[in-house]
Amino acid sequence: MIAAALLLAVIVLLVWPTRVLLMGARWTWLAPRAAVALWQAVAVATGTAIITMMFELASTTSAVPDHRRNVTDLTAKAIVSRPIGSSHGHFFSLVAGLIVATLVIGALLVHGIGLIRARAHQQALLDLVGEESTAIPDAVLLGHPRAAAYTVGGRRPRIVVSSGAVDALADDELAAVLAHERAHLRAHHDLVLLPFRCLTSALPRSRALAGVSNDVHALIEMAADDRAIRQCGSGALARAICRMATTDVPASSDGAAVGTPGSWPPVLPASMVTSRVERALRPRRNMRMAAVGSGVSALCVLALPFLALIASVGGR
Amino acid sequence: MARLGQLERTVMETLWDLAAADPAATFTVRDVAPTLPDHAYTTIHTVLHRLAGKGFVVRIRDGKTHHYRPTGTRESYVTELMQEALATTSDSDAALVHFVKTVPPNQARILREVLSRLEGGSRDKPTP
Repeated sequence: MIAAALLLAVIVLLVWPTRVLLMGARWTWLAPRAAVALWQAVAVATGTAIITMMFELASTTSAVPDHRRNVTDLTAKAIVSRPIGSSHGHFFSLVAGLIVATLVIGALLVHGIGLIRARAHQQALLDLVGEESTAIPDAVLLGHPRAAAYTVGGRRPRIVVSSGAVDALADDELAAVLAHERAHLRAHHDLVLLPFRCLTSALPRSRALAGVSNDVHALIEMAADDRAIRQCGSGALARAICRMATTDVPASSDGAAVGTPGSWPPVLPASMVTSRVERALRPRRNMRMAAVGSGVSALCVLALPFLALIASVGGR
Repeated sequence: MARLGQLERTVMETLWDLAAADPAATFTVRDVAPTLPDHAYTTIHTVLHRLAGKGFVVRIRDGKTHHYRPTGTRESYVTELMQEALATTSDSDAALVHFVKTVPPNQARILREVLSRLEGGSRDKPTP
């Protein structure tokens, strides 16, 4: 029971600073790869804490001896460990725990399988209509006038570029796009994103989870951007992003312009696209601090649930 | 595996060519075979069976023979791929990792301005 209380404390300790310090935070842009690792650590630690807490609750409530229920002991330990109601309490807490666990794992499985199927369908379609390109040997070309570039994961992950994108982009811009996509493939970013996307689609009402998924997505894009900048230069990447994002948007649209284009580097309205452009155009600052900070926090976060378990065993 | 994939593609291309001439018609292994002279009928049958399993052809049974018809044109499959690639909802794109998504018009305007500045004389200046 102490273990369950400690694990609950760990969950609160994880969720609260994460919301305040990590969610939507711009400092993570300095070291996107380390920040992604930190997000993964938070996700694994929170998941571990929740699952072990449920099992702790179920096992301790059913293991409490009968006579304990009548003892009026007001210490925190006894209050926490007193089972709710009668012996049905054990049964209910166990069943409730199992139902919650089954729902979460079931939803993850269903959505994970859905994603894998969607990917397989994409791959099968690409097998039939994708064209090989002599200029880009590691990408599949789609003959379509609109501009698109993306990566499909799977057993045979592939970079897909539309002929519209090849036509629209200058040579160095296309090179930057490809360097970005190759970075996704090399780092298996689709797999990094998969669990977060599964969670989001399993619990679509949760704005917090959607926010986390968006954050992780933005960070892996920035990590891939960093590689493209190293290989092709920040100018080429910034131009590539601007062009790919605007090529298919009608020029005659009369939406009011936002941001202040007069200043340089430009101040742009917040969105994943604009923040990537801004990031490419701004001089890089002390990335090492952010990277080391994220790395150390990730390790601490991962250790938390285990420390809680060890502490509770020691305290028994 | 890769060889089967190539065969599937060739068979599909043959079906598309045949269907382009007569969209309402259905085709048998015998119709497809001339484009694959190196392969046995059973192989072609297997490939068509696999394509039916993936939903790319419809199989109609007529007595002892199977007739096949492609479910879509090549263009419709390209369009399907592009629609998923260009979808702006976060739901349908879960299987893909995009380079960048198309932005709303008010953002497009400013990004175009940034782009023209980057392309202008200051091409190399903004890079640190």
